[in-house]
Amino acid sequence: MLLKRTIPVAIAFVVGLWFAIQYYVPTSFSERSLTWASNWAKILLGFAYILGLYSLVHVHWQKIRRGQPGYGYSLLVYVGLVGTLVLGLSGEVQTLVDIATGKAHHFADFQAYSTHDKPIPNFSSGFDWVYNYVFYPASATMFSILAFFIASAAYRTFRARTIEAAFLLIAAIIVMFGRVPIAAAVHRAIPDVADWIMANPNMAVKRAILIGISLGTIATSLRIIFGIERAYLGGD
Amino acid sequence: MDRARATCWRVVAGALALWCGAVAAAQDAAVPSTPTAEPARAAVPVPERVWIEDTPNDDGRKLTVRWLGADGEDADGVEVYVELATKPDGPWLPAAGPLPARGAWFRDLRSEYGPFTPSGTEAGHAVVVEPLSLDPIAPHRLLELAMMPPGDPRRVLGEREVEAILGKGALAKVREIIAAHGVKERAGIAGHVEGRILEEVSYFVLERPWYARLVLRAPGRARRIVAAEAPLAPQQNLFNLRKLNNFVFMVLLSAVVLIMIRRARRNPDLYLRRIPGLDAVDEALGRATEMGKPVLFVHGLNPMDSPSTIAAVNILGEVAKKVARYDSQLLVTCADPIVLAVSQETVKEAYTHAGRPDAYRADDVFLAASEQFAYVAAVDGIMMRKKPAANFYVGYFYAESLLLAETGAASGAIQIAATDSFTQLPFFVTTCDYTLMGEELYAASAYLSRDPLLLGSLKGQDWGKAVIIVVLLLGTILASFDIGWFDALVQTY
Amino acid sequence: MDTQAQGDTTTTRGDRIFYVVLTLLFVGLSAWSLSGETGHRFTAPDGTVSWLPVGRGPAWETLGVLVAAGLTLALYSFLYKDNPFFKAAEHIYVGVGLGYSLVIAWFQYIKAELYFPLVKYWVRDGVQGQPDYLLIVPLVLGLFLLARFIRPLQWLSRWSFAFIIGFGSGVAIPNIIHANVLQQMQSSMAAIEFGNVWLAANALCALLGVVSVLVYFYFSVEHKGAIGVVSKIGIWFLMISFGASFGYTVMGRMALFVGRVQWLIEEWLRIPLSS
Repeated sequence: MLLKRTIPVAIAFVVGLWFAIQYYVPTSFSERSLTWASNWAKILLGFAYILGLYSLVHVHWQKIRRGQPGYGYSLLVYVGLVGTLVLGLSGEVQTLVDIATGKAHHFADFQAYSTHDKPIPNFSSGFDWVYNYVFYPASATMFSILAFFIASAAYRTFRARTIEAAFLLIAAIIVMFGRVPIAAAVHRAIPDVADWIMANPNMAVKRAILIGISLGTIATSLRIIFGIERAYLGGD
Repeated sequence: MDRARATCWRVVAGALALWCGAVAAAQDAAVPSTPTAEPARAAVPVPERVWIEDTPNDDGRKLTVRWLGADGEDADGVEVYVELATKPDGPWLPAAGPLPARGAWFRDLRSEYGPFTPSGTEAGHAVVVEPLSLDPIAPHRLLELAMMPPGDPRRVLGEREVEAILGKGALAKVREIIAAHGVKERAGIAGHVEGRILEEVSYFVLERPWYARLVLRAPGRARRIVAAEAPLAPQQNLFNLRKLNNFVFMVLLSAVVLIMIRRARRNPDLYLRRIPGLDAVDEALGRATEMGKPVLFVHGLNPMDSPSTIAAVNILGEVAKKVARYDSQLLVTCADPIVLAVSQETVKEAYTHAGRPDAYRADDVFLAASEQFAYVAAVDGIMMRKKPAANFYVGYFYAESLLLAETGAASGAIQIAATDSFTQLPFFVTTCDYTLMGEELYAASAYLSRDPLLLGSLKGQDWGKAVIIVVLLLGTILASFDIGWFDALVQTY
Repeated sequence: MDTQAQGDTTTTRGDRIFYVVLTLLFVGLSAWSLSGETGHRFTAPDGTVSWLPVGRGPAWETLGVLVAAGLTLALYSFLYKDNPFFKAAEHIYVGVGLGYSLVIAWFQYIKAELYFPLVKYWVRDGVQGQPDYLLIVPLVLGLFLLARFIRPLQWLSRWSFAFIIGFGSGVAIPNIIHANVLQQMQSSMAAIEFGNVWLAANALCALLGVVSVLVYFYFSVEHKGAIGVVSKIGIWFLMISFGASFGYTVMGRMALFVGRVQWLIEEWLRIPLSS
């Protein structure tokens, strides 16, 4: 109980309280502590990727093992994963081999330094290839599918016959047309109305939502810091 | 060895000092200093008082040099240079300037002092200086060195921490990168001494006294030098007064929330308005059970330390409890591995809490993908193949929101979104059956659990909103009548 | 996993035609573009675009463009329906994406933040400098995360969770007050210019928007009577704002698609569209 619950709650309390106060304390220790914690969070994320790797590999392994329909696609996940890892980390592995065979003095060779003492990854050109011809085009394509989905979402709104939907639709149409050159040709007021909507009602709502969110955030953070909300800790 | 190194440094520093002095002398020489040519012009006016103050609200790296006077009519064309030194007799490092002697102005003072700018500055001059930033070695040299190809003799071999003289006289610990040339080369390339990581230096606060002086120059007139009254060491400050309003707001709001939570403990019957999106959760889960189809919970992209994600995990806990009671399958997709681990823990606990620990399967809470659009592709695929009866989108979303929600709508699922991402709200509103907007995301776990303590904090949030509305109305009215002090209460620096 | 794991697996005749057409389209156009005279698009470092004859460009790049074009078409085929092409592209993409994340995690998180400042001094002898012993804390917390693989020690990961979540919660409070409360309030408290009806109306409208939406978010008061009316106005404001944001985004999204098609035409089909 102490180890499983009290200590985690205490960690969240101490860390949370300090970083809520740290913001107001300008000493160099205070500023360094923020840098430390941000870097520590990165390190934890690095370790957590092993959990993520296990999760993805395991889910797809189950499909392959059971021979579920479409398990062949799961093999493709492995192809992409292993291929990218090999290309991305081959330079690192090479260095390890060099160290083992005495060719290299040190794993952290000079390539690792920039002004910020961060490594300049020594990627193979193969890793760049995967990024340029697989990862990037796939991302850009998925992103651009939005062009179709935004149209179907608009259509969906068009079918909803409520006064709220009408407000939404009218504002959407005005602003959308206000941003294309032909709008001014149809009626010169359209771009002005569009700008007015963006500058007044839209901005006001944005402010109100941000204020509301901050209150919610503060309350949620307090509940975490004071150990009232601890769903993340699991059971005993 | 250390002594040799120190000597080297002193030589370098001395050379630089000489060089600086030579440059300054050359500049002086360049000025046609012929006081006899213009006998009508008076000498450069001298300030009545020059002194150093500690710059508040900082980590002890800044000083403020202030002076009074020397801004009358005969100060036309006079330029002021501020110089610093660690010893009363120099060497002097140029810290600021040229600054016009005429007119009262306070460079950076308001941004450094915030609302507590000292009185009297209206009549004087002030400039904020950073003694430690006066290092003559440009940091970009390091990059050049580090980029040397393998085999180059300048290649870096290792690093060590040394005490070095910076800014001619200031001692600081720096990390030093050692090139194959070793010490010999370092002495030889003065001006770009090889790779010392200068950003590290800023952390070594030098609480040593600094001397300041003003150098006043005007074309055709004799230069005047005025020393500051006493040396001063920059101090670290324990509280940043510029953020006082923020602090007061935090303390007040936290107090209100905590008091409301306390009161809720005693009086657990609190009214809560309906939130249709959360009332629909039961309907959606019931439908999933009837259809024998899974429920899909889609996390946003933000990492675990983001408040949106923390709220999402709390909601996940409540949804998972309900799913366990309804005896349907819950699938949770994550894009961040820490969110994944926390979600697994949360769902497992919820199932145990609902008395169904056997129903928990770790593989149902999984990392669908680790990158934004790969996540979209994977979750879209799941929605089209498993046809979940209900989709929850909870957390902070980016451009992927519409790609997910449209696919979900096309697959025929009941969709409930909860996000505080202002830019993505329109897309959820148009494609989901129910959308929890902004603050509602943070209220959801309280609403679903009906835990009096959580409800109490909602009440605290409402009080916060009431105060903000009053302040807004009051502020607008006062601003309309040109009363500015109220606006200063919410000023940020 | 249930039998519906792969969803709607029935393939209609229309689907088959679609698959065949898509395959032929890709193969045919690729072959046409490879045999074309227009050649490679070559962007010089100064930004000028020229066209090299086929065979001059590196083979890997040519293959890359074909792979990228194939992936693009396969992912677009999702617009028709979920299909084998999309599934294949999706799974490869997910694998590559995770691989990419892992490589970045190694270089930017583990190697940069943990290996260099700390572990390196243990791995090798004779490294000059001082290890940053504070990093033992995240090292231990990171290992605690990995303890999730050992069932009896799974609870150790909660310490790491507590650190991350506590850190996030603590940092959030003052920063969000700064950005979302003070700054927003400051811009909301604009003076109402009584002399100018138009400006005064605008200021009042914005004020009404902020207040009514805040009232809409009230949880502990029933939305009836005056509160109900104001919160209703708040909903209308919300809807107008969402509509505006929606409309504002449309053209940008269209541009994304246009950009993608442009890429296909220029890089894959090698038809110069400009210069």
